[in-house]
Amino acid sequence: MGEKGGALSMKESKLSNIVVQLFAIFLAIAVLAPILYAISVSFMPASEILTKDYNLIPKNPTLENYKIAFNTTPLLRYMLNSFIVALTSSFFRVVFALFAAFSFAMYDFKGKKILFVLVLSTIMVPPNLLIVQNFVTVSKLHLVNTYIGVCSVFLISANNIFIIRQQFLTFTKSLQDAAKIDGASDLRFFFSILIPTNKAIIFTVFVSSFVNVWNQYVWPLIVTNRAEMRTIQVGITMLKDRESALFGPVMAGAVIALIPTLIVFIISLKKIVSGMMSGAVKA
Amino acid sequence: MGLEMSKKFINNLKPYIWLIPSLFLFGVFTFYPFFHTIYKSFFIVDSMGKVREFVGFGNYLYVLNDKKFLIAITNTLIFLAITVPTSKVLGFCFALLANKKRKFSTFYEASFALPMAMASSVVAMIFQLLYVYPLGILNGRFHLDIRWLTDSKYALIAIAIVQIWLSTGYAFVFLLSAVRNVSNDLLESASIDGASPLKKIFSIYIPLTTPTLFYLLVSDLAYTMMIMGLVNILTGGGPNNSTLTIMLYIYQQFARTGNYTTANAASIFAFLLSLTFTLIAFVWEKKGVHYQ
Repeated sequence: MGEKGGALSMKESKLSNIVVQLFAIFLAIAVLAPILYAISVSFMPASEILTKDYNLIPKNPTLENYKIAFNTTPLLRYMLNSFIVALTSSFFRVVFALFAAFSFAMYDFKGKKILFVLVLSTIMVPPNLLIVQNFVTVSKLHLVNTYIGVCSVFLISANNIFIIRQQFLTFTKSLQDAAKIDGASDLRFFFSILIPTNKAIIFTVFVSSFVNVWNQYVWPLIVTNRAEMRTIQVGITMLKDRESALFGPVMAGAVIALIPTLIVFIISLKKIVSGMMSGAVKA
Repeated sequence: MGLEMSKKFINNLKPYIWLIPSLFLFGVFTFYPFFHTIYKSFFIVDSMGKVREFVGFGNYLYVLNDKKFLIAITNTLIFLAITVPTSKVLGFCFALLANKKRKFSTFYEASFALPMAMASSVVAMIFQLLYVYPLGILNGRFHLDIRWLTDSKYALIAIAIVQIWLSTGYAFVFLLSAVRNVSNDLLESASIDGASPLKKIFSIYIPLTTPTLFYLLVSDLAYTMMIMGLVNILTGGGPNNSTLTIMLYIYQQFARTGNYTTANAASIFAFLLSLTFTLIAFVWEKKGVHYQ
């Protein structure tokens, strides 16, 4: 854009370039402020939190809050539970979505349209709306306070099916026909051609699903009532009740709960975003 | 011949076999609970979830006459009206600001997007600390004197701020790529015509990003309509029900009092409400959305 503007506006744009960037960086820090503050508070001794000095940075940094958080609650157990639930759910989500997407993308069969519309229609039903009845189902199956119970409602996602199907559709039928002529069965085509060539989208769906399940709060809250089955998101809210003012250990717990998603986010932001876009925009 | 027949039969079954896991799971955890909730909403249901007595639309009349439920609907609608447009407008402004790739783009793009990866419970705990009265950092550093979470005038706004913080990043990510997809030719010819930056925003950027805005709006309306986690952690619906949302009302009905009867009718009512919004959005789409 700049080349057309001539010398004068080039000079202007150099200054405005700096101004725009400074402004953007300022805004970025404002957005991050609550997180940065939480990290900072997690290292403050109790005497520096919620005082008239309104400290932003710990004067005498300490690990005391982390010790308290780990000693008073089974924080490691919460983390382990969350990892088990998020990994298991994401694994099955991806596998089942791959199966369904394969069927919808590669075959023609009776009722295909209706079944596909049925699958997509589930996007219209907000999951929170179903928790009452799903809780009844899960408790009837005696799955309250079990990993299967927590994972149950996260095992399938119409969004994931849709995104992977879109990806599979770009594989022309001719490729499958070629595989058939070579004598490869559908199973072999699925496992030795389709899966390896679509690693990127599979990774994206897995990672975004991991973050999504890791961050779930309402369902795990309802379907567990024993401390050792709580996930981290439910667990940290139990580090204090609404009235108490002991925020140090809570912030330590919050920071620990953030670490996995932050790592995932930093590593794979670009991939997740492009994956989500491919689903949304083509829709 | 018989072998050939059965081989063909198996071949015809194949596509359905691949679909078994997803259809089973959708059946058990989406379709069954959905239709069963509709069915049960016409009955008195005991605390074990068992159907007792047919009452027609009685349960619906009951919840619609329940003052608490009406408050919950009003609160949810106010909450939607505050958070959904604000996060889109902010996301759009951030996207315009970050549009051109610059030296520090990676840093501020990632920062704007980051909240989308945050768990609502963690964020709720952090904002609870920011909002503490009177020694919280928000009151202290900005010289305010607001009981953010305990004054019924401010509590809903306080939670709306958290929701806006959480949802702007998602809107930003989508709008950034929409804004970057706007064709350069269009912008250049507008520049030659002497269009001001503001004119470019209103006559080029906004019309050309309406499909993305529409997608964001529809998905956020249905999602935010069911908001519960933040409220449950921050205020539990208080003070004086000023932050009671539809979903929290439903949750409290069945989790606290074991009242499945009203929970079912309220759930279906909530679904109809969110469906109405989606339909309105689709009507608006026909008129207002600009596809290239």
